[in-house]
Amino acid sequence: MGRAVLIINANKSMNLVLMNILNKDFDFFCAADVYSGFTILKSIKEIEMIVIDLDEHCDDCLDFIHFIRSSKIHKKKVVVLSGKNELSNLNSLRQDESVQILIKPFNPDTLISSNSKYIRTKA
Amino acid sequence: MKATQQIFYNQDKFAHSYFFLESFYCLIINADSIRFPGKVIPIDVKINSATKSVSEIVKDALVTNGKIPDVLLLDLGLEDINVQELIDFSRSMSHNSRFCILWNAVHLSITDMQYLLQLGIVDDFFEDIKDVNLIEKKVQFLFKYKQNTISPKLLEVDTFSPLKEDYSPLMFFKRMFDITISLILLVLLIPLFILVGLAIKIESRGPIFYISKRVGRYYRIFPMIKFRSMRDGADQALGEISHLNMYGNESESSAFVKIKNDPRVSEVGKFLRKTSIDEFPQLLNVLMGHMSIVGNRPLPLYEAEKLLVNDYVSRFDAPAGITGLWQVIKKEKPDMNEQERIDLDIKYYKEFSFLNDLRIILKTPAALLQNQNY
Repeated sequence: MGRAVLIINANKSMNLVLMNILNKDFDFFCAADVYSGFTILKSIKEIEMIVIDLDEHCDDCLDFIHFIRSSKIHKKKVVVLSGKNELSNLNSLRQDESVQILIKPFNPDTLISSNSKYIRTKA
Repeated sequence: MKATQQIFYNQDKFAHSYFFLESFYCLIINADSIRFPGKVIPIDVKINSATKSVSEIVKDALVTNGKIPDVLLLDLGLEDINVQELIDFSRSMSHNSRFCILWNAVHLSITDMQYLLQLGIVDDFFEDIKDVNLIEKKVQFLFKYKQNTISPKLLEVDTFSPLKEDYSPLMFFKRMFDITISLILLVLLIPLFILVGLAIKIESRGPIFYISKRVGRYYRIFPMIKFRSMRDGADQALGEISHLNMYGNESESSAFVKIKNDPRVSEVGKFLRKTSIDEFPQLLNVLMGHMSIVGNRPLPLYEAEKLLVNDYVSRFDAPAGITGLWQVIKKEKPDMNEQERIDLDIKYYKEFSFLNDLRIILKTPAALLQNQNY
């Protein structure tokens, strides 16, 4: 297995769309909630990036992101998909350069270019 | 968060201490000194003397405070501890969703950390034992995680297999149907294609085919082929006439764009559009697997990205189609609004069956003959 992305989102249609937008470089795993996502993250070492949708269980998602970003071993780049209603909850994430926030509906090109930049940085 | 109580021990092998937070209490096991928020207290530790195990220290904690600690903070190196004994202890606590072990990463290499995680005895690592806020947040997340992983709601429950697209037998059958029909029609339509190509070339400068990027199933982008029905440079002129969009005057907020009596359409283009002959080259897209005979309308990128929200995104589960539910329904309801159109797209895939596809195909000729605005 090559590089992998973990998508945390209960909406399978959105997951498949994200997979097609990013699919040139990664394998994809998905989980319906952050707790299942963390189980996958612990099991699949190749995961390099997490895409997380804040639409459901916003508080749990934010706790998870803070946990991941402060973790010595699970620290990954995080892409947050958010509706306009959750914007006020995202202030604590804005200072972290490895967290990218995309407001839905989002421009796929923004996601692709951010991802390419990340891959170049890693290389 | 302030610790509300500290009890210090200086046992034979490990120094250890407790601190209580609002929602849980921690037992720190430390090889050289006891440190806790705001203070560092040196302790004379006899590392090599015999020997209290982790489980014995935890039992001490139980005797002293009447309960098992919620969190074990290990502030020592791998060489300071009997790993096998820690594995046994960790397994004995695995049933307890309100217990976790954190280890100070300062004492460990990345390889050590990966080894400890692989053994499954450590839940996470911390870097500064004085940062009680961070430790507490970690612990709260880990408690919730343990409580929630009793019945994990994974989309891929049995294995952590990578996410895959849906290739059901029904979709396979649909694909076989598409290949057969498109191949037959393309062969039959070759003379018509030649005539139309000549007409387009004679009327105006520019290419015979108009190729634009469209979004198909699962947001796959493909080059959609049509006979050119507009004058050259029509795409660049869209901004100037966006106020004529029948799905809303402000094209910024509308996902779809359709212009009544579009001034960019050529004379030959009017005929091609009226008869829908301009769509026929899409049979090539069907043959190549970009599209299906029946599906949702293949959207241009600027329309598709406006539908990347959870409520609408399932319209991309269906393939893009030459004809579709929207095309046949709009005959009965020509002034359909944007929401109704999205609802039809989603409905098509939810109720997808080969029989429904056949119904749409049978209704399509009548829909094609309607008097469109173009």
